Amino acid sequence: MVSKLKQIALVILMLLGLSCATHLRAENAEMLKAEEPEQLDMTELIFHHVLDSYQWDIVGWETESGEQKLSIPLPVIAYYDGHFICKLSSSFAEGKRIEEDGLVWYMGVPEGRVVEKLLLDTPSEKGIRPTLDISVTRNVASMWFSVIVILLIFVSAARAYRKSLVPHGAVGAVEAVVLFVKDIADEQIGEKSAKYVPYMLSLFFFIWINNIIGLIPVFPFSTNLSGNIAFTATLAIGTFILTNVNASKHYWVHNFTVPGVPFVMKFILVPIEIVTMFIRPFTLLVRLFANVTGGHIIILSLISMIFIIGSLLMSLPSILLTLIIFVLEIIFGALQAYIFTLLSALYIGLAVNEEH
Amino acid sequence: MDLLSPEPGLVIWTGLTFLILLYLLGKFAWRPLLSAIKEREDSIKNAIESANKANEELKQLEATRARIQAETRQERDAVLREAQSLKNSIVEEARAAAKQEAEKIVVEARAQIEKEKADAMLEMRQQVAKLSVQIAGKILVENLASDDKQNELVEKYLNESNFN
Amino acid sequence: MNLVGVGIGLIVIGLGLGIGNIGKSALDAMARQPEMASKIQSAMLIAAGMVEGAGLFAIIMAFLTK
Repeated sequence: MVSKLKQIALVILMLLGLSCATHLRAENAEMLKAEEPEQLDMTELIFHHVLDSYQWDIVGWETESGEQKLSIPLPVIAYYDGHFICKLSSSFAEGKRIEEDGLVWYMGVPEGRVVEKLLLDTPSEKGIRPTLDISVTRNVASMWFSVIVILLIFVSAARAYRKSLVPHGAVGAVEAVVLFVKDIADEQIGEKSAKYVPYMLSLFFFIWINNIIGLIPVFPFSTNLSGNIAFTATLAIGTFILTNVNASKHYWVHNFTVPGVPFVMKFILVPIEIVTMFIRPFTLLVRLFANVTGGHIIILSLISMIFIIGSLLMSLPSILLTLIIFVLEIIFGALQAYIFTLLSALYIGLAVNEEH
Repeated sequence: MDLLSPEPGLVIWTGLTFLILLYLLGKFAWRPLLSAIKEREDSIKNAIESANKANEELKQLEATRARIQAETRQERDAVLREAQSLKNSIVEEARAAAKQEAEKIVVEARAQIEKEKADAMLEMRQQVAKLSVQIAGKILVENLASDDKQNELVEKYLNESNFN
Repeated sequence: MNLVGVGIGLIVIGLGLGIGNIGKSALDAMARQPEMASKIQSAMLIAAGMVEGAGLFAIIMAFLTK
């Protein structure tokens, strides 16, 4: 009863806040019309967070002389036409250009892009991207941080078993999740699962820990690695390779001949089967990317509403809404890792088993 | 769009990092963890199995004990019955023997009596004959004096040789 | 750009209906057979994943062809 009253009060509070906010917004909209760039800033802020960058910003503040930032410089590594460059990102700060062997390296926003990228000028061309840009970006650094976290958790958990086979405290929780993921693999793949269980476990925790890291809003977390399409694509490619390398004869026969249908139908079904082979990892990568990035964008937009509307009153509903979305995102972070693992296991199971 | 174009650099780093993570976790986390879990499962299974086995053994022991007990009881009963019958037969035998002995004694006694009787009769006959002869002699000696005297004499001798 | 927005809206309507239906059926099934809940749940997630995959594919295509 009390909790129900609390819920109702909360909803009323939110509605009040919302109506206040919309009211204020209507008022402010006219006042802010002249200050259009303010809103563009928010898009930039969101993209700056959601996308990758060459340095890791810890905190930023306004001073009289302009914007100040405390950030960790990260190594910029790139290759172009026989030339390597390996510098700290701080050496490109404030539009500095580095000239080496007739090539000029600098940071700029390429056409059709939103954030700064490493560019170079050659004697013949201007503003082109290097052939290979393997800079240790914020996402890469965050990924290594996540690797350290994962190794710390699981290696120490594994060590706890040396003392006794019965887990105590946190190790028990780790074991419960590990067994949960192992069961996914066992259920979907069947008897051949033992080979894939380590992959499934690593996949699940790599995604999950990175989702959580993305949600904690302070340094050294708050990066959007698992919402980066390159990251999800790599993991989906991993599943794709595993699926097809270990596929049974039955899988290929099924895909390329589609037994049990009339001959004419095969002309339609065989291309569909082959396309499905590629669609599967594609949906895997897009689902994870869209969910995580979408979550980040929603949270940032809700926070940004305070600044867009420019009113302290807006902060209450905005923060409440953010809190709700935040809790939802925490659940989704685990759910997306689960779905990615489950579907990977399902696809591998479909491919490696003779009959299904 | 920036969002939708994967950076090759990040793809390479992710792939590399994930492979290394896969190796490290596989070697230092999953293998010991899963083997520990498996070991525990096995040990639990073994424990249950051995408990079941012990239970089974206990049951078997119990059965053996019951069997032995039953056997012992049977044996005891048999021994008792045997003893009883032995006792009976011994008593029976003894009784038979005693009876036989008694009969024998009686028979012997009877035979003795018969013999004694026969002897007695024989002696009496001899005695009677002797007496008769004596009487006859005396009669012959004293006779003829008178009839009275003869009768008196016979009377006298007859009285003398009272049959007692 | 506006048409892309309409397209995304339509996709999301379809997606919502599809996943909603899956969730409804799954909940019905779970209520009827609670002992099968875990199996139904994973089947539900797989089906929802497929639908969502198609939807996301369409959304991406909408973005790419603007």
